[in-house]
Amino acid sequence: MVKTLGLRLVRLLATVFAVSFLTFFMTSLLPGDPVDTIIPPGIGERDEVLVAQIREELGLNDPFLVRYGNWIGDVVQGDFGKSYVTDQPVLSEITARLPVTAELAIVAVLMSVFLAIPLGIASAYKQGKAVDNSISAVVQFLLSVPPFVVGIFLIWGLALQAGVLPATGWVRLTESLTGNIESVILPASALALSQLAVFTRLVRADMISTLQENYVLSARAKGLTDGYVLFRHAFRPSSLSLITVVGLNIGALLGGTVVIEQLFAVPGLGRKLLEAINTRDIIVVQGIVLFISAIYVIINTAVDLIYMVVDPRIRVKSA
Amino acid sequence: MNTSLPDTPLLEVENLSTTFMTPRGPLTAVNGVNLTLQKGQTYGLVGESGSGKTVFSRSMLQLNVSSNVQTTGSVKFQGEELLTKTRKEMQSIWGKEISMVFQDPMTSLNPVMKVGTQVIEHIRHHLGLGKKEARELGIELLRSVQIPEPEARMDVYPHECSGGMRQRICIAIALACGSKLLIADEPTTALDVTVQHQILNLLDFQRRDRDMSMVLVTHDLGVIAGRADHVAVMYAGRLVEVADTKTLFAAPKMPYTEALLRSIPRMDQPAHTRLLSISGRPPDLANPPKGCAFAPRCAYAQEQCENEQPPITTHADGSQSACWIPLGTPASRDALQKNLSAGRPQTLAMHNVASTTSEVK
Ligand SMILES: Nc1ncnc2c1ncn2[C@@H]1O[C@H](COP(=O)(O)OP(=O)(O)O)[C@@H](O)[C@H]1O
Ligand SMILES: [Mg+2]
Repeated sequence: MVKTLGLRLVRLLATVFAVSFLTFFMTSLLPGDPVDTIIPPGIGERDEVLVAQIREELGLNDPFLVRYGNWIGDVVQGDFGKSYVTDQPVLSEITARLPVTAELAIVAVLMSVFLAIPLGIASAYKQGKAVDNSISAVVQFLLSVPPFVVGIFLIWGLALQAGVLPATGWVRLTESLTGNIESVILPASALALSQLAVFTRLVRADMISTLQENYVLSARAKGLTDGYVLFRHAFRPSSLSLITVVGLNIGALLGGTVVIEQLFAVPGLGRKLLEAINTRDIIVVQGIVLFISAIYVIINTAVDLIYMVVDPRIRVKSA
Repeated sequence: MNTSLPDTPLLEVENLSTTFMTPRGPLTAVNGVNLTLQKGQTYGLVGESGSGKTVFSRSMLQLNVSSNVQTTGSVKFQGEELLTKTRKEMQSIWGKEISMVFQDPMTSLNPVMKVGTQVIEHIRHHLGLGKKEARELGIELLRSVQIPEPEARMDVYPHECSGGMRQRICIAIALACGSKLLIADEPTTALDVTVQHQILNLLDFQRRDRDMSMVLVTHDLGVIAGRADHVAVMYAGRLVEVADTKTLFAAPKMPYTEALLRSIPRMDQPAHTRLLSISGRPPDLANPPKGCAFAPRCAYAQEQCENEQPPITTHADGSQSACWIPLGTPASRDALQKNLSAGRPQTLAMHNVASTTSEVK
C-alpha cells in the first residue's frame, strides 16, 4: 500500500514537470514580445537601451532551456515570478482568484453528480419506460447544447425575465452568504448541465449492466426493497466509471470556467487567464496553466485512490 | 401415502407456463408444469442445461428478471396464490417464507459489501432486529453452516472466501429468517467435487434440522439420490417424468430419464470411464417439434413419437411419465429392436456405449 502510494506520487510529480515544460514551450511560441507588455510600443519613442536592459533582466536573451530552467527552479521554491502588467507576484494573483474558481467548479461538480445519480438510477430502473425515455430525451438535448449557450439561456430566463438571480457579477463568501449563493447558482448551473447529461448517461448504462448481475437478483430474492437494492447493492459497483469520468471531466470543467467566468463576469482564474493572454502577460499565463494542470493531475491521482475505497477487490490487487 | 389425505401441501404448482417474447417469436421455456410438495419433503428437479429449470424456479416466485416475460397458471404456497401477488407482497415472502440458493456462489454475493452486512441486512429488514442482535444472529448462522471463526468472517469481503465458503454463506443467508421452503438452483454445480458433497450434506442437514422443505434443482441425477423424496424430470420446459426417488432409479419409464441415469458419474468406476452423454441437443424452444420433444434423440422413438405430443400418464407403481412407449413394456423392447435393425443412429449410439460400459465393469 505504501509502495503504491509512493509510486503514484513519483508519477504525479513527473506528470506535473512534463506539463510545466510543455506549457513553457508553448507560451514561448506565442507571437508578441513580453517587453511590449511592459513598455507598449507606438506611444512616443521607445528607449531601446531600456528595452534591452529589461530583456536582459527578464532573461529573455538566454537560450530556451536556460530560461525554462530558471523559471522552474524558482517555481519549485514557490516563486512564480512577477506579473509584467501589475508587477504583483504571480502566486498571489493566483491565490486571490483561486477560491472563486474552486467554488464554481466544486458547486458545478456537486450539482451534476448529485442530480445525475438519482436520474441515472431511475432511468436504469425504469429502462424503456416513460420515465427513462423522458430523462434520456432531456439528456440528449443537454448534450447537444454547449455550456455557454445554456449560460446565455439561463441569464435570459432566470436573471433578465424572472429577475430572481443576478445576471452577472460575484459576491464573495466573506461578504454575504446569500449573495454568494445567488451569484454562484447560474454560472455553476451552466457548467453543470452538460456534465450532468454525461454523468446521467454513464450511471444509467452502468446501472443497467449491474442490474443484470447475479448478486442483484440474490439481493432481491432476500426480500429487500427495490430502493435498498438499487442504492445499497447496485449503485456502488456501478459508480467506478462515474468516478473516473468525474475526475477526467474536472479538466474540461476548469477549461469551461474560462468561458463561463467571462460570460458571467466572475472574477476567477479563468478570467484572469484570458486577461493575461490578451495582455501577453506570459509569466502569468504559465503560472496559471501550471497551477491548473497540477490540480488536474492531483485530482486524478485522488480518483485512483477513491477506487480502492469503493471497490475492495482493487485494494487487494494493488497491495 | 396415497391413502392418508395430507393437509394443504406447502407448495402446489398447477399448469405453470412461462413464455419469453423474443425477437424470434415467443419462447415457451416452461410448459404446463404441475408439482406438489408436502411439508418437510425434498423435491428433486432434474434436466439437462437449458431445459427450463431455472426459469421454472424463478417463475414460481415472480423472480424472472426480464420484462418480456409472461407467466400463467397457479402457484399456491401454503394455500395462498403467489402469482397474483404484487411485488410489495412478494417482498415479504422472498427471503422470509421462501429462500433461494443460486448456482454460482462466486457471483451471487455482492463484491463490494462485507459478508456480515449481506448476512444480516435482510434479518434486520424482515425481523426488525437491531444491529447488534442481528450481528449475533449472523455469527450464529455462519457457525451453523460450519464456517470457522465466524466473527472474523463477518468482516471480510466475498473475494476473500473460497467458493465452498461463499456457498455456505449463501446458505446461511437463505436460512436466516426461518423460511419454510428452500429453492436451491444447482447449488453445487460451480463447485469442486469434494466440496459438492459437503454442501449437499449441509443443505440436507439444515433442512431437516429446521424442518424446511426443499426444491433441489440439478442437472445431475446423482446429486438427488438419497437426498430427495420425489424427482421431477424436466425436458424442453415440460415435466416428462415424476416419481418417488426409489421408483425412478429402479424403474425409469421415460427414455430420457434412462439416459440421464446412465450419465451419472459413478464412484465405483475409474475416473476416466467414458460417460454416456446424450447425443444430440435439446430442441429450439422458440420452434418446438410437433411431437415428443425428445423423439429426435430417443433410441426408442417411433412414428407416433415424432408426430404427437404424449400426455402424462400414471403407472401402476404410482410414477407418471409423458411417453408413448414407456420403458419396461413389451412395446418398448420391440421399438428398440426395430430401431436397431433399421440402423437408427441414436439407437446404435446408445447401444454401443451401453456395451462398452458393461465391459469396463
Ligand atoms: N430472459 C430470457 N429470454 C429469453 N429466453 C430465455 C430467457 N431466460 C431463459 N431463456 C431460455 O429458457 C430456456 C431455459 O433456460 P433455463 O431455465 O436457464 O435452463 P436450465 O436452468 O434448465 O439450464 C433456455 O432455452 C433459455 O434460452
Ligand atoms: Mg439453470
